[in-house]
Amino acid sequence: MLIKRLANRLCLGIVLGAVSVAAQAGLGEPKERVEHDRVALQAAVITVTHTSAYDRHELRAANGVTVHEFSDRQGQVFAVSFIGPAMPDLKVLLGSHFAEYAAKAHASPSSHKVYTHSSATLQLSLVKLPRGFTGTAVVPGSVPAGVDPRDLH
Amino acid sequence: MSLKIYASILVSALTLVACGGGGGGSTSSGSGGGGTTAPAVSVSPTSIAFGSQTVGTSSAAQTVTLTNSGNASLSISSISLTGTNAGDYAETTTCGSSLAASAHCTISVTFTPTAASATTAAVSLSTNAAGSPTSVALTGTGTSSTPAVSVSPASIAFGSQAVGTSSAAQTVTVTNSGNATLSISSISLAGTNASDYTETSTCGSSLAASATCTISLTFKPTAATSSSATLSIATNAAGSPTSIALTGIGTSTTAGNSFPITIDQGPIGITNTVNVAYATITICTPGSTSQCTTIDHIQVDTGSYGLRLFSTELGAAVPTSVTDPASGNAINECVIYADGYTWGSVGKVDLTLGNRTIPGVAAQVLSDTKAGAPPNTCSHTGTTSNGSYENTVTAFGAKGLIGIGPFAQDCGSYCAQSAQPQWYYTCPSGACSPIAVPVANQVQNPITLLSADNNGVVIDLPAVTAGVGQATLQGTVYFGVSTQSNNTPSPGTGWYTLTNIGTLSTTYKQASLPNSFIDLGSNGLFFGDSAIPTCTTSTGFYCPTNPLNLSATITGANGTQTTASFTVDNADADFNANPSFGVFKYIAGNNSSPTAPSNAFDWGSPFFFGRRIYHLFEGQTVGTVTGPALAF
Repeated sequence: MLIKRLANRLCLGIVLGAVSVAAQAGLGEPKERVEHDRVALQAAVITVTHTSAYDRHELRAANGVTVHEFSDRQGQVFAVSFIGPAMPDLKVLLGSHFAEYAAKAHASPSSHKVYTHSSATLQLSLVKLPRGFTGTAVVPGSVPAGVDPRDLH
Repeated sequence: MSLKIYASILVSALTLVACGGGGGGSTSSGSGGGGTTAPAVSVSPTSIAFGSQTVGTSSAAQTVTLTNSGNASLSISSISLTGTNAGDYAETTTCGSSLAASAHCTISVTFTPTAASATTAAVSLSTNAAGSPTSVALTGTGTSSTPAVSVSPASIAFGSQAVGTSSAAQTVTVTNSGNATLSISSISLAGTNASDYTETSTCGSSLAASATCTISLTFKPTAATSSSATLSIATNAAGSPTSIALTGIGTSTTAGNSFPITIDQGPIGITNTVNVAYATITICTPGSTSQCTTIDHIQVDTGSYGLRLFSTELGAAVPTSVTDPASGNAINECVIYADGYTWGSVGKVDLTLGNRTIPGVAAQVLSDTKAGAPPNTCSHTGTTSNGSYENTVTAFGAKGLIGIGPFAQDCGSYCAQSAQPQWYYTCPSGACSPIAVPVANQVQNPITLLSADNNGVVIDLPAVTAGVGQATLQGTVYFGVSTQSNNTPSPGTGWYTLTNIGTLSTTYKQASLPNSFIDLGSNGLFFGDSAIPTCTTSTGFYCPTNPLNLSATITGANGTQTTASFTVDNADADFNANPSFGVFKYIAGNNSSPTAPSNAFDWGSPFFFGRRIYHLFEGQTVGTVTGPALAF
C-alpha cells in the first residue's frame, strides 16, 4: 500500500520554559483560571463577551497572539482558540490536555500546514497561515447545547 | 431458344454497366418469335431514387443505359422528362435519333429540387419499339437541411511560451450543428506565423449531423515576439471557411524572467510525495563562478518566504555566514513544521533561477553542523529529544525549499520588534537564545531581491486533462507582475486582495471560513467536512466512496468573488491505482477535528492546475491594486 505524505508545511511552535506554571489552567479548568492564563501569556487585559450559552474571554498575549477561552454557564472552559503571528504557549492553553497533544504531536507526523488531533478527550485543529497561525481546541462533549463549534473562534 | 438465352446474357451485362440506384433492366421486345426483325428497347436501371437533396443544389448525375436489344435499328423520336416534378430534374444524353441493333447509349439525369418535398418524375423514351413509350421512374426528396459548422473556442490564446519549446495542446471542437452531413475539404494553418503552430485532428472528410471531432493545436514559437495565425476549416457549410484566431507570445530564453517547475514524486529515494512542485536551482559561493552547485528538487512554496537548503546538497558552494549586527555572532534559524522542525545556520549564496542570478541571498542552511544542536524551544514538545527533527532530505521530502509567496521576509516585522522563539537565534558557546533580527537581515523572498521584475510572481501550471492524474506536470514561474507581456494578466482578470496575514475568505457549505488561503505548498485542498470519510492508509486525506463534485466561494478582502468547483476522489484508491504518478487532480484532506473545526480552507496545489495565478507582493501596486494580492 502506498502511503502519501501531506506535504504542506506548518510552522507549529510551542513556547515552553519561559513561565513556570504553578497549576494547570486553560482547557477544562474553571474560568477563574483564565486570570492565571492572562498572567502566563503576559496579556494586558481580559475582555469578556457574554452570550446566552457561554462567556468568551479574550486575551491579547504579549507575543501578538489573540486567545479566546470559552467558558460554559457552569464556569468550565470548554474551548480555546487563537490567531496571531506566532503560536501561543499551548501548554498554557491546553492545560492538563497538553501532555496528550505533545505525545501525539511528535508520534504521528502527517502534515506541514495542517495538524489535527481527535480523541475522546481532546479535539484540536491547527493551521499554518501564510503569515501566522490559527487554531482551536475543544473538550469533546462539553460544548453547550445549541452552540455551533464553528463559532468558537 | 438461342435468342432468349442471348437476350438474358445481354440484360445481365447491362445491369453491370448501369450506375446508381434503381432496379434491374427491362426489355421491351417487338418480337414474339424467330424470323421477324424488330427493334426492342431495354433500359437499366428502370428507376432511380435520388434520396435527399438540399433544395437548390444539384445531385450527382445518375446514368440510364438504353440498349437496342432487338435485331433492327431503333428509331428514337424523343427523350423527355415527364411527370409532376419534371422541372426538378434535368437530363443529357448521348443517344441520337437512331440506335443500331445491340448498340447502347446513355442518358444522364440530375436532381435539383426546387422545394423541400418529395418529388416524382420520369424519363420518357418514345421509340418505334413495341411498348413505347418506355419510362424510367425518378424519385427524390428536396430537403431544406444543410450542414452547419460550429467551433469552440472561437480563438485560442496560448500565452507566453519560451522560444523553441512546445506548449501544452489546446483543443478545438468542431461540431456539425446542421442536419445534413458536413463535408470537410481541408483543415489548414495560415497567416503570418503559421509555422509556429501545428495541428492534428480526429476529423475525417465528412462529419455526420450533430457529430463532433477535435483539432489539437500546439504552439512552438520560433522567435521572441507576438505570434498569430489562423486555423481554417473548409467545408460545404455556409460561411466556409471557418476561421479560428491563434495567438501566442514567444518569450526569449535569454530574457530569463522565468524558471520551470515540475511536479513529480520527489527526490530519488523518496516515493511518497504527491502534488509537490519542485525547481532546479544553482547556488554559488558569493562572488564565485566556479564554486557552484546545481540542486534539483527544491520545493517551490507560495505559503512561505525564503530559501532553505540542506547542507548535504551544497557541493562546492560555501555560504557566507550572516551575523547578528548587535553581537557579531552567527545567526541560526529554527522553522517549525507540523510534522517536525528544521534548524540550521543562516548563510548567503548567489542564487540562479532560470538564467537570472541574484547575488547574496540569505538562506537557512538546514542541518548545518556550524549551527550545532537545535535548542529545545525549536520543537513540537519543548524538547528536542522526542521531537521530529526533519534533518534529512528524506524526512523533509525535498533537498530544500524556495518560498516565493506574496510576502518579502520569512518572519518580517514580528521578528524585528522583539526576540521571538521559533525563529532566529544566536548560540554563543553553544547556548542558544532567540534574538530580534532587523527585517533587512532576515531570510528574504529571493524574488524581491531581483533588480527587475521583482514585484511578484506568476505561477503557471497547465491543466491535468486525463484521468485522476499523471506522472509529472511541468509549469513555469514568471518573475514580476505586469512588468512584461508574459506576466501581465489579461484584462478582466479578477484581483483578490489578501489580509495582512495572507488570507482571504471562503464559504463552503454555508460555513464562512475567514482564514482561508491559496497555497502551492499544500499538496491537496484541505478543509473540514465531517461528512466525508477520511482515508485509512494515507491518513489525513479524504476517501469518499464515490467522487464528490463540490464547490466553494472565494472572496478577496476587497470583495472580489468567485465560485470554484472541485472534485474530491478517494485518495487511497487513486494512489494505489497509480503508483507511478506524482500528480493527482482530485486530492483533498481534512484540516479539522469534528468538534474543533478549522476556519480555514486551504486551496492547495490542485487549485493551481490549469490556472495562471498572479501573486502581487506586499506593498507593491499594479493599477489600483496593492499587494498582498492574487489574480486568477
